[in-house]
Amino acid sequence: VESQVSLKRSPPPEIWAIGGGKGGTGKSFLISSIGNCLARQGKRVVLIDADFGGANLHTFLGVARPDHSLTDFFERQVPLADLVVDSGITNMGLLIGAIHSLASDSMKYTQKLKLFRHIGGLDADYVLLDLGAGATLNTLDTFLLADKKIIVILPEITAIENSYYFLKNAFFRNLMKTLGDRGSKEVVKETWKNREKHNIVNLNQLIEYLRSVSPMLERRINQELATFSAHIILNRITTGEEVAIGRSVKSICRKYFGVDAKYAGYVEYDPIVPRCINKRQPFMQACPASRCAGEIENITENLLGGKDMQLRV
Amino acid sequence: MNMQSEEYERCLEILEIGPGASFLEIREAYRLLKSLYSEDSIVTLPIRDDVTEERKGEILREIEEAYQTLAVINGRGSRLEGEGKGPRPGIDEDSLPPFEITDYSGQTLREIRERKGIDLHKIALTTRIQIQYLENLENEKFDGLPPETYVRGFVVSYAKALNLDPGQVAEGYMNKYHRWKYGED
Repeated sequence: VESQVSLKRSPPPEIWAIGGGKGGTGKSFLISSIGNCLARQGKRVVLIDADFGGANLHTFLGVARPDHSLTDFFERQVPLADLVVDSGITNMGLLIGAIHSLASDSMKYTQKLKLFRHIGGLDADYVLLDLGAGATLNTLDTFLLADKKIIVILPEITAIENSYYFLKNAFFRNLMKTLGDRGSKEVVKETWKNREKHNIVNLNQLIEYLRSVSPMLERRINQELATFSAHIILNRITTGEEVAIGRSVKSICRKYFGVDAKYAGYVEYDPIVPRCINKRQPFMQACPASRCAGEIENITENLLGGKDMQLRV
Repeated sequence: MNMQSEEYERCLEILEIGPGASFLEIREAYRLLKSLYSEDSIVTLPIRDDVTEERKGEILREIEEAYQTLAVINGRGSRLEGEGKGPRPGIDEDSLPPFEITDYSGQTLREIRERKGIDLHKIALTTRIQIQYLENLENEKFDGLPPETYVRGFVVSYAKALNLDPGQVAEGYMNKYHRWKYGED
């Protein structure tokens, strides 16, 4: 079985990562439910809990905490495919982050690249990464390596604030890395250090300034902006008016930050969700006919198509 | 012709809506963006210090211009003809012909909703009625609705969500429903 997995040369899986800064916004709930939708469509899914501090995706699926984790991959060179355990859902495997390691933010960049190389070799159609809360460099880098970058917001000012912070940092980190690879990093660093002199207070102005430095730099920045895109999910809304918050945040991303964003959809608040989680029942299976389940199915479709939520005016 | 369609696409892009959007979608997007960039909200407060007033003004101007262009192309910008390039788009609800309703049908309900620029999702959330049922209600797809007592309840909730007189709406709608259920008059 092992050799079959490693020898198969099907196209690499598409990697989706879910993040967004603030904790408790429903990232794990959403990504496990989205995984469930994909698996039900017959797509082979591996769900990875990359929350290196508090891995608990297994709870959302109602399975026991696996004995193996990414620690075995890093420390004992166990092949990644061998660490994927049954998620209790057909077509979906589960792989959890470091459960035995106390140093949660200790993964080096080289380790991360190695992890992503091996994720690319997994025999699956989709690999879904749950990043956990925070905007540490570790989290941002993992987010940036994904093909589809998903952020979760709530209709709350703090969640929205954190998501801006997360996105801005992710974009800046990405820019630095690309420019660093090509030797222009110093220009950015120097500009930021002397930002007062250049009258720069935010990312937008920094980008504007850098564009004016040289045509080459301008080209690269434009290229970065064109390829960076985020998909927004608005969770736990309670009124119809709140639907528009997702559109508004998307607009801010585009018009203020110059970053492409899509509004994949919303999920309304339903007290049945925490009840299911506490009972350790996978929500999409326990309440398939609920409105929340329908909304998550729509979101999954929009993510698959890279589309905005369909409006029905 | 080609230039106009390119311009049209560009304006839709500014209003952040896809190609082929109806004029109602255009108007709704315009209203949303206009209030987003002119009023403080939980979406804009966290980055208030990040953006200069000039930039905000620039964005608002772009939105306004895009909307006016789209309105004229859609034949809705009559007030703007000639020199009247004022800031008002001239397509406010009040400028539409008065809407006298004696008999409420699914279509009239939809028309009122569209005039108010309310997304069906909003109605679904306020009324807690599944969007599929709301669509069937508007399309008078009566066989796609639950039993009669529920239908009446749905119509009442829908009417309230649109700020209409629930009794009057239910009476008109249920007449139609009964004609379908028990045959012509």
